[in-house]
Amino acid sequence: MILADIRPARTLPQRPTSPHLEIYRFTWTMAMSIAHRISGMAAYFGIILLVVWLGAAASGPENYALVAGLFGSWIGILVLVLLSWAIIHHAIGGVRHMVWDTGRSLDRTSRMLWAQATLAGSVSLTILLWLLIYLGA
Amino acid sequence: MVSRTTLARVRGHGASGSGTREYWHMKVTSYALLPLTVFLIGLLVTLAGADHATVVATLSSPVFGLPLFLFILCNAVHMQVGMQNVIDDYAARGPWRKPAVLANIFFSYGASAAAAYFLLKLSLGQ
Repeated sequence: MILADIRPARTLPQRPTSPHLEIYRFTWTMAMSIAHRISGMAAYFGIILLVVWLGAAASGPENYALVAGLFGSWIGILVLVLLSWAIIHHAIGGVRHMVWDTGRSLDRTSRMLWAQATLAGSVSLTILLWLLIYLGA
Repeated sequence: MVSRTTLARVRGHGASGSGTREYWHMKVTSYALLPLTVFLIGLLVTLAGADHATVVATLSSPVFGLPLFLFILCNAVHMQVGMQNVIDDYAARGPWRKPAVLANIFFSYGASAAAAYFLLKLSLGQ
């Protein structure tokens, strides 16, 4: 142990490093782990839209009409579609973590199934949601 | 010979510098946010395209205003702890850690307070 630690002064010991992302083969569970984090961060900044919307509603009909028009423009709808997808994806990913916390579905088959279901579920629920909005409008 | 337990040696040396409190808060708020998020999406779908008077009348009702208020409260903690986790993973050391931690706290609770303030303002009278 002491022999292995002999090194030039002011240098760090050559410890083994942990393998990082690029070492691993790309898998569904890895992709959904990354997607959970990215969708969470998208929802994080999405609160700005909630604040703007509530602020406009609290400050009168003129401001509300302005913001509603902005949210209803093509770029507004694009942002809202992506944001709703992120929130739905993050919510389903959260349910996956709740199931894992009970010790269930940790085997390879269940993990893969959950990961694929998370993406399939979030995409189809987002489409369903906007179909509902489109048909209601 | 040092009389320290192994637990005392490792305590406080994790990426976050502290224990499992944040993890627990994340779990509690995620359970609360699941039904509240379903509610919020439903509310926004109903109010899409509605005029100002309808929006104010709807949010003034406790049936819709109270769950939205709860969502804002739970989400404030959830987003703060979530971004703290990201900071712990990518900026665990270095000069940017403390500013990032502070900015996250200010943004999370600042934005949430603004949302709660506007909701109370429009539902409790202009």
